[in-house]
Amino acid sequence: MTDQELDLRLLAIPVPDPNPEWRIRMQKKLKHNPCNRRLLLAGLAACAVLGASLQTNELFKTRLGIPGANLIITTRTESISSRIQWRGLGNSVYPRKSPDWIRRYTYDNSTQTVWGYETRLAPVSSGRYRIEFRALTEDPRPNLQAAVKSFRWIAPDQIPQSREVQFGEVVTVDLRPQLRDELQVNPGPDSIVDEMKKDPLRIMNPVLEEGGIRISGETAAGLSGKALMIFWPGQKTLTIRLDKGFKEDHTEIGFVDGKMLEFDLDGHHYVLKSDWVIADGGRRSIYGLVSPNQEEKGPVFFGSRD
Amino acid sequence: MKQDGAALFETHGQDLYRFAYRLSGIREIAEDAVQECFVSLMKTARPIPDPARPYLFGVVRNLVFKTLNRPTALPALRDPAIPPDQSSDVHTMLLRLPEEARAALVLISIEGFTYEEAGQILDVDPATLRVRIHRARRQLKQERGYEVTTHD
Repeated sequence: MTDQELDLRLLAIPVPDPNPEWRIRMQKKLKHNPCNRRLLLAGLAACAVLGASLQTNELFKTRLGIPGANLIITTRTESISSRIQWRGLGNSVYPRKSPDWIRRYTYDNSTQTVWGYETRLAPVSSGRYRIEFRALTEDPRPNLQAAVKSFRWIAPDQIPQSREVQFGEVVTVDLRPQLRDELQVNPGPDSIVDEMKKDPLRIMNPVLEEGGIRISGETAAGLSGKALMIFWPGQKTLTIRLDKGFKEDHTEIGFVDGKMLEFDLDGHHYVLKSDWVIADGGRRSIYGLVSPNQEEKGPVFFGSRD
Repeated sequence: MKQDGAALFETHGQDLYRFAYRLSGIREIAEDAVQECFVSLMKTARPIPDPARPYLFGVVRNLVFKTLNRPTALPALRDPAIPPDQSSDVHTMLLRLPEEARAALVLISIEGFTYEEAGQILDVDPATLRVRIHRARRQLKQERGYEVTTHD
């Protein structure tokens, strides 16, 4: 047999057509391609010149339910065109009750840097809150995804002064040149409920119990997303989803039913209770993935992720 | 040079899928590899080299072998949806070749890359690639029980 004959046989290897849904899925995903977005931005910029009202410089919006109020953190860039500069940006917000500081990290894949700050709200009077800021007190990298662990940790350009605000008022935090966070306190938690219900998983004032004994810290917050996270500081982090995840690396650990979620982990049985229905659709299986947690030891707390 | 991801998929998606399938023999792995390739392109700020075709084949090849080398990877060598015939027997033997030889043979003999282009994708010099291709062809012919006739 000659090489050419062999090559002909190789060329004749049958290849099944891909799943029809795969092509549709790919086209949907690529609709949001940043390269395509450049064309969209050019169109939007043209609209802006014509006087259209646009808010397209928004990169992320995170809503946190806290007692009596919603804190909305919106990350913006300076202009529509500068959005492309922040294509590789990631976003994390970790609310904690004890201590009651919200840790907010941003990581930039293009410059391999991580930065952030901590903030908390203290009620002053009806409709007025004091927003306090401080630099990050812990290195955030151990809590971030594996790819981010080697990034440089840098301080934000400026930590703003703490100040009193009334509902609707916006406080700006300059993160980097051409990048800022806007913090707004709104009455709550009612207005946040509908937004959070759009997510597949959501918890309000969660409590984690093992053997009927509460093991989580004082967490009074609403969290929602495609994944819920439970942090055992210094031990492990559990990510909970309603599916096996994009990489199919989550395994079935228990179920969610109404306001309760039950799962087994490392030979222990846990019950997570929420003031809200956690996932729609009655009793459903839940899938979990455990990763190491390098934080200082402390009470169990919660997070969420899209 | 930055390019439109959707346009790249339209141009190269089917070829990349077929390439991934020939390397893996499993449709789901081929679909996932192409999907992950484009999703990672969307996430990265790094511009896609021009021409994009060799680069994309290199990424997909890495993703396929990464999946196949995972401890949980499916042991199947061939898609059960394909009924066995002479051609799929050749595929089974192709899948038994070492990864680098398999990738080299598919790139040169099926996808029509030059030795220089395939060398760039596989990060080997063209002379080494020629040796790999020669050995891979000889192994396939021997397994098929054919008389080994080459022009080398």
